[in-house]
Amino acid sequence: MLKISGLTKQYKGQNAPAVANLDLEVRPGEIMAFLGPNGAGKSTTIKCITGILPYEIGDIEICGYNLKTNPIEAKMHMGFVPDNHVTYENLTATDYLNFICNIYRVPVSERKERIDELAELMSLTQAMNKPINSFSHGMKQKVSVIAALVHKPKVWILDEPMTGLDPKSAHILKELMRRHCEEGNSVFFSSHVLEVVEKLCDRLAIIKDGQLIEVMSMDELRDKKSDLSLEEFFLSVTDSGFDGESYGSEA
Amino acid sequence: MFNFLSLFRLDLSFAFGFKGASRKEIIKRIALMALICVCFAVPLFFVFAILYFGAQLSVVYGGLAEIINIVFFAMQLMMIAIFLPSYVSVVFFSKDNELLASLPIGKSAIFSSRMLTMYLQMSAVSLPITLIAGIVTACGASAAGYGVGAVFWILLLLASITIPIIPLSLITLISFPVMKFVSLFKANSTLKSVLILLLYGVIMALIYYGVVSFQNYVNNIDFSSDLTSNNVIMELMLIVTKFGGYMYPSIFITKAMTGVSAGVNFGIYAAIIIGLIAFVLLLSKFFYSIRESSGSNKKADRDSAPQVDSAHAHKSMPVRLALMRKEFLCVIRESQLALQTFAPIVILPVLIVVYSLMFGKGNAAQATMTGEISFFLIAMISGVNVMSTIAISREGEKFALLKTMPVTTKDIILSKLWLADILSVIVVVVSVICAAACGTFDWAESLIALTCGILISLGINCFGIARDIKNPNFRFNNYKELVKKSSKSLAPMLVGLAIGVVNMLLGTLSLYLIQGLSKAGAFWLKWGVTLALSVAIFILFRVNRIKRMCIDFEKIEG
Repeated sequence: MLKISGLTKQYKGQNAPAVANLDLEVRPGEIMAFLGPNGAGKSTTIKCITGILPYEIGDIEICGYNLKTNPIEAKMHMGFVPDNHVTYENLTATDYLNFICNIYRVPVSERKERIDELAELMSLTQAMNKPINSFSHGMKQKVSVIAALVHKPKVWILDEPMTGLDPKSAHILKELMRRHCEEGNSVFFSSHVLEVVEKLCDRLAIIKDGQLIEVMSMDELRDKKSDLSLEEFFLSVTDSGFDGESYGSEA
Repeated sequence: MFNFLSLFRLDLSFAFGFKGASRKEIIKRIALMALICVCFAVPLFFVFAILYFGAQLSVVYGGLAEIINIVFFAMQLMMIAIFLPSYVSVVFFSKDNELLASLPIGKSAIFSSRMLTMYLQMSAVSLPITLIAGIVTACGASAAGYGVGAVFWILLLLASITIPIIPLSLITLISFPVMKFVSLFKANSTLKSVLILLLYGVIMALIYYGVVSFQNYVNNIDFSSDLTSNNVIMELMLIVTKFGGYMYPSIFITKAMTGVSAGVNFGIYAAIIIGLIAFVLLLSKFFYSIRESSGSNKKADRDSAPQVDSAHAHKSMPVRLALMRKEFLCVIRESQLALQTFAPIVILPVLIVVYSLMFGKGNAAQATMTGEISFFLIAMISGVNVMSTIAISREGEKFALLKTMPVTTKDIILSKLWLADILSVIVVVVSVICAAACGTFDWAESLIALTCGILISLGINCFGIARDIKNPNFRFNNYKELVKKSSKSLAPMLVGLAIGVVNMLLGTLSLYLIQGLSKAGAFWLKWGVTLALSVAIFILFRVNRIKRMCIDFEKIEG
C-alpha cells in the first residue's frame, strides 16, 4: 500500500540529511506506528510521503503509484490528518467537506451519505453548517478526520492524531483506524502516546537522527522483549539515557 | 508605561515592515519606495505648480491661507481613503488581539500603541507633502512680493506634525459606532465583509459629494474667455477662498501661518487638536474592547451562527472551479482580507469621478490632464491587486494541506490567477465606464484605456503571483502585516505606476512641446505608446510563464 525506498531528504543549509536512506513498507490491512524522539525525522518523512516536501533521493509509492511521476493518482489513494488540524476555517464544515469531495472526485450521489455518516460517528452533525473558525480544537480535528476519510482512501496517514482530543473522541478515532484496516486498507501514523500505540498498532517503526533503527511487529516485540513495555523499549533503543530498568528501582 | 513602550516598539517594527526582514529585503523595499515616490512626483508636480501660481494670485486677490488649506484638506481626505482599511484591520481585526488579551497590558496601552503607530505611518506620507506645499506657497507668495516670516515656518512645521491627527481622529470617531453595528453581524462573516465594504464606499461617496458641490460652483465661471482675464481669476479666487475657508479645522492653522489673527487662530487649532486626542482616548476607554475583537468566544459565535441550508452544498464542480470557489469564500469571509482585496472596486471609480469633476473638460489642457490622471489611477490600481500579490502566502499553514491534495500545480496556480484576473477586469471595466460617463474618455479613449488596463492587470497579476511563489511568507500574524511586510505588493504597483506616468508625460509633451502635431497625432502618440507598453507588459509577464511558475511552486517547502 505504502512503499518507501531509499528516501533521503536534506534541507537547504543543513549539513546532515533530516532523513537518510529510509526504507519502509506498510502492508494492506495493517496499522503501522511511526515513532521517534523530537527532531528524529518523523514529520519530515510524513511530509515527504504526503507531498508537502519535495525530496531528491528515493521513491515513494502509494498503491503502486509513484509520488514523483504520478502524484495525482498517488494522492487520490491517500488521506492525511495533519498534526495542526489545519483546514479552511472561513468555510463551514459542509462547504469544506464538499470542496474536499470535489478535489477527490467523490461522486455526488455518494458524498452526502458519506459525510452524514462520518459526521454522525464524530458527533459533529449539529455543527456541520457552522463556520470552522467557530469550532473548538477537538471539533477541528474531527473535521480533518472526516476530510481524510470521506473519499475512502486506501492509505490513511495521521500525524500525532491524538493531540488535543478528549477521551471519547480519541476512542472513536482509534475505532475508525481499526475499522479502516479491517476493510483491507492501511493506516500509518506517528504518535508520542505510546500506550495508544501499544494497544492499537500491528507494526511499529522507530526513527532516530533520520535513520530507521527498528521495524518490528507488536507480536515480535512482545516475544523478544517481554520484560519491557513499549515505553521502556523505545527509551532503550533511542538511547535516551535509559538502560532498560524502571525509574525508581534503586529506591 | 513599560508595557506600552514594549508593545509600541513591536508595532512600529511590524508597521514599517522591517521586522524579521533581511538586510537585502530592507534595501529592496527602500529602493522600491523611492521609485514609487519618483512616480508620484510627476502628478504632484502639476499640483504644486498650480499651488505656486495660486499663491502668487492670492497675494493680489487674497486667500493665501485658503489656498494652502485646500492642499492640507485634500491630503487629509487622501489619508482617510488610504488608511481607513488599515485602521479597521489593525484596531478591530488584528490576529494578535487574542494573545494581547491574555497579557498584562491594559487596553489603553494597546490602543495608544496602535494609534501612535498609525499616526507615524500617516506622517511618513503627509509630512513631506505638507512641508513642500508650504515651501511652494511661500516661494509663490514671495515671487509676488509677499515675504513670509519666521512664524510661517514654525507653524508650517507644527501643522505638518499635527495634521495627521485630524483624519486619524475622524476615522476613529466614525469607525467605533460603525464597527459596533457591524459586530452585530459577526455570525455571518460574508455579510460583515460586504457591510464594511459598503460603508467604505459610502465614505468615498461623501467625499465625491463634497467635490461635486465644489464643481457646481466652478461650473458657474465662464471659462470661454481668456483664462488670465481679471474676472475669471477673481471668480476662481473667490471660490477658492470660500471653500478653503470652510475646510475646518486646518483653516485655523493656515490662517495663523499667514498672519491672520495668528494668536487666536493658533489657539483655536491647538485646542481642537488637543480636544480630538482627548476625545479619541476617552472613546477608546469606554468602547474599545480587546476581547470583542479577538473573537475568543467561539462557542457563542458558533451558537449564534446561522444554519446554512446544506441541501445545495453537495454540488459537483470541476477541480479548478472548486479551488476558485474555495479561494473566493476564504477571502470574502475574512473581513480584513476582503477590505484590502475589494477596496479598489470601490475607491478607483470614486477617485476617477472626483478627478473628472474637479478638472472637467473646460479646455484642451484640462481635458488632457483629466484623462491622464484617470488613466494614471487605473494603471496604478491595476498593480495593486492583493488577490495576486499574496496569492500563495495567504494560504499560511494551509499551504501544506494544499500540497497533499490530488490537484496539479497548474490547477492551483491558474485558479488563483483567474480569480485575480476576474477582480482586475471588474475594476478596470467599472472605472472606464465611470470615466466615460463623466465625459473624461470618448469612445476611442474608452476602448483603448479598457484594453490597456486589462492587459496591464492581467500581466501584473501573473507577475505578482510569480513573485509570491518565488518568496512566499507563510508565517504572519494578520493579513495587513502580510500585505505590507515585503516588497511583493510594491513592485507590481510600480509597474502600473510607470505606465501611468509614461501616459501622463506623453500627453503633456504632445500638448505643449511637440509643435505641429495634429489632434490625431497627439492621440496616437500618447495612446499608441501606452498600448505598446501594455502589450509588452502582458507578453513579458504572462505569456509562457505558467510552466516556470509551476516549477518554482514545486520547490516551495512550506
